Amino acid sequence: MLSHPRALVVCAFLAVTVAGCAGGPAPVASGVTLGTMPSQPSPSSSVVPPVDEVTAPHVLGDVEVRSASPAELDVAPVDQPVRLEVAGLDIDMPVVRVGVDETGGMVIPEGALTAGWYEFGPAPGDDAGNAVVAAHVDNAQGLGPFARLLDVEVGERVDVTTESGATIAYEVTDVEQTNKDEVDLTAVFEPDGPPSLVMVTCGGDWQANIGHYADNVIVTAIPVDDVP
Amino acid sequence: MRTSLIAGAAAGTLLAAGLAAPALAVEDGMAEVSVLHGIPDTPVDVYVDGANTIDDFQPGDLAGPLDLAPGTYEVALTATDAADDSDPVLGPIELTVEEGMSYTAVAHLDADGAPTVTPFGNDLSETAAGEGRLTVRHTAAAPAVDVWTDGEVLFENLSNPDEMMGDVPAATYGAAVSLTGETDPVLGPTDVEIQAGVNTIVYAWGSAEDGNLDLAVQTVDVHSAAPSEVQAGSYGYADQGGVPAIALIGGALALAGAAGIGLRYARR
Repeated sequence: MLSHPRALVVCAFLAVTVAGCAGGPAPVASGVTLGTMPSQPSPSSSVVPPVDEVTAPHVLGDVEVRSASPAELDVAPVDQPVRLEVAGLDIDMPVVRVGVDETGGMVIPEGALTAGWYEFGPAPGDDAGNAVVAAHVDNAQGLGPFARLLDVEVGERVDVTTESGATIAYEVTDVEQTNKDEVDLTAVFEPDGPPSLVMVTCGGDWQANIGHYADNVIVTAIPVDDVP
Repeated sequence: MRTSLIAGAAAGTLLAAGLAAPALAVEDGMAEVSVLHGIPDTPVDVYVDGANTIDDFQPGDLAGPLDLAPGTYEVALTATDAADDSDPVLGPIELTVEEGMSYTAVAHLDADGAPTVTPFGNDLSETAAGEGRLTVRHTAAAPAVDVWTDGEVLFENLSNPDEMMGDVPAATYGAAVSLTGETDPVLGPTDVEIQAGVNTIVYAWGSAEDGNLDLAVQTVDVHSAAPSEVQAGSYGYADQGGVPAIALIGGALALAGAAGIGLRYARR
């Protein structure tokens, strides 16, 4: 991320003013053990007596210092996915990066033979979060490969190949079909949490009047290395 | 002290400043504080509550973020050879930080060229899907400016020590700064990549009179919202509602049932 990060080790400093109304001990940095923190007065009394300033050792750890020059602002290039294979379902599709349309919906590649990876979320291979790949369930000729996602079983192997040629192997852990009015897309597109691959298509009743299916079919897979 | 002006932006949605909501980006129960050094030619030590916290801090550098417990801190800047903070070159000032919030304390010149420290709150609220946030802060000894992106004025008449911000589609923008009402850039154009779910904060610092105006950049993760929908079918071939197509996948449904369709992503 940084060209020339300079880390400065900072000594502990005494800081925290513990207000009498807080009830519990003052928050401290994770990993810091307070050896001499005095117990706090009970907050049950409605009249909180004034509490003298209490100081506790507060370790800041390393303070990273870097140049704030725009030239130093390196945005790490993404190793984007280019191919998705589910050998057991005879799925082998190119993957392109996609964003959002003018109404805020995820863009899905034309036809049903190409899958789209949501470029504003995690990528396959990232340390955390859901990499979301979606494809149309059908095209003008009939069903597309992602229609077979409904056949997928837990434990099925999924391979994603990235632009650099790396392959990330996943194993299906969850298959869900949920009405689009009920689906929690915030969870589908979760940017934090354990790394997962989430494949999304459509299913359920075809609603000819609006040109959409009623449900989303959502298949979750986790890196095989993470399978318990 | 600072104002949030709603400028007529060509792209994106402008937000009011100071509405930063607690975000996952900040350590639980803590506040996040970065420090930017924007006073030319003056290396300093930064003392926080009497402790030398940033040693030999150079102009144009950004330190942090530090995780601080909510509370009020005393910040003083000294010469780099000072033994303690008893004779500060700037400060001490009191800096109050609240849980779950992100701040950048900027040591900079005021409009007239005198050193000062301005604490800014960084807006952590979520952006719309596919959008990032651009925040611009005027911390230079210079008159009011206009901020340009890709040849259009995005923020108009920004004065020291104010900030303006707006959410824009994620992309790389050519950013430039001109004196208000003028078109010749005094800074830039410089490419600035605005990433989805990231607040990119650009500072103008230095002194126009001394000819050392410069830009500094900081990024703060804020998350962008999930897309509003995933519409992934257009022809009805996968219909499960009883038209003939059901014959194609009736078996599939049964299998899927056997595979244990859960409701992980259903709202409950």
